[in-house]
Amino acid sequence: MESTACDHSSTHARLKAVCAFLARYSTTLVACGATTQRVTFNVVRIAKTYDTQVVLTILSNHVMITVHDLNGDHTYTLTRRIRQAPIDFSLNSALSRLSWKIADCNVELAHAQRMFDTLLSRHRIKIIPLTLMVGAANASFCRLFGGDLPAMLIVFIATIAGFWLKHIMTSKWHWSIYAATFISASVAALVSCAPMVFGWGNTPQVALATSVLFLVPGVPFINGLSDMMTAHYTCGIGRLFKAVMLTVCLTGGLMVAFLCMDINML
Amino acid sequence: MELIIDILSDGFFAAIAAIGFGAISNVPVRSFTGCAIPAAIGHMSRFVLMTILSWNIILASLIGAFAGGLCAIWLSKYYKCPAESLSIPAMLPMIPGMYAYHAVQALVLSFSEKSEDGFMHYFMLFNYNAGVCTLVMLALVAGVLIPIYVFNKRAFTATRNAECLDPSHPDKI
Repeated sequence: MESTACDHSSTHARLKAVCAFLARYSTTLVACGATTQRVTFNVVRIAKTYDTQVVLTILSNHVMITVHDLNGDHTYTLTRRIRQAPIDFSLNSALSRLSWKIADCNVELAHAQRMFDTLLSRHRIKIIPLTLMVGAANASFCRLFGGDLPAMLIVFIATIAGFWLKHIMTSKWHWSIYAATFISASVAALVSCAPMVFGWGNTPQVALATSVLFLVPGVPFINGLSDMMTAHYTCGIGRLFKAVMLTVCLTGGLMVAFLCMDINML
Repeated sequence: MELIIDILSDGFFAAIAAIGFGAISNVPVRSFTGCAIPAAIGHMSRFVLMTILSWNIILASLIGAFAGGLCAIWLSKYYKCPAESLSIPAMLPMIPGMYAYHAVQALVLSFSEKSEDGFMHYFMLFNYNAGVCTLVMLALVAGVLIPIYVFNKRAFTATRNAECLDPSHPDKI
């Protein structure tokens, strides 16, 4: 009788540890921009390695996870909040590789947790080179739409101003992403009105149109539709709605610049 | 010759744009070329279809995105990262920015018009530009997702690494 109670207790402790790890793993993977299909595949792969089965419900702000042993006698359920973080494909790739490593090499849970913590301490690209890269990318974007050299130059400057401001508002001042997007779009669009006001170059309208495109939420749009296609409607609608809200903020910022400068290009 | 230079310059600028937009999403630095190649192939395909074959932007974007998406699936195994982390930044240079801009502009003007004819004119322009913009966005998404679902196994095993734990670096992934 005593040994059965001890077995139950150790099974419960094992399920609890696996469930806690999988909850941390899945919320981090969702936060860094993985599709729900990829999150599910990776979590099921890890759970199988530890002789458990898992049921995963991914919502727009939370993940509900139930782990049970192979006989289905014991279960453990956790609900964990998804941390709001910027998209991180580097972490997404590393976490996917971690899931394969755990499955292929039968990595122990304690070791897997240590590897997971090591991955979380990875650094992002430094803000100055990142800002310059985004500026160059948006200037190239302007060229793709037929912009000339003055237009590319002003888009480069406008993008740097808008992106830097967004970084300060979200990272330092912890403002809402929606307010930051609206203000960044307004500033970038106002800066890019310069060719129109001073008559620089032949394509000022291209500069104005492309100056805010670094704010387009491409990843949530594509992930949201991908989630809908795999029947994860709740998470898919949540992601799509966030993308639509960001687009509305971006458009609002552009409108403010139009109204301030009284621009009519049609 | 001029046309070839135009096509190559289109691919070059699309590649730079994809790297910059990939950097916002923190794509691994060693995968930057993995974003640039699908972006260049996708954008060059769309450019050729639109300028030489005179296709409309919606169909050309679908084919361009599909070409870029296929290329990303193939490259993901080499770069050991999920296909979507290469293909999504690669699609961003194909976003129909000018249509979106004209749609916003027409909407603002339609509400500032006093006459019914003027309102209808700008509202029609808003509908046209917003419609094209939405359909191009959907074409881009479909072009990226179709290869992932068709080559499902390859797409979801790209991050698998045959090497097991390195005893000298036990925490290395």
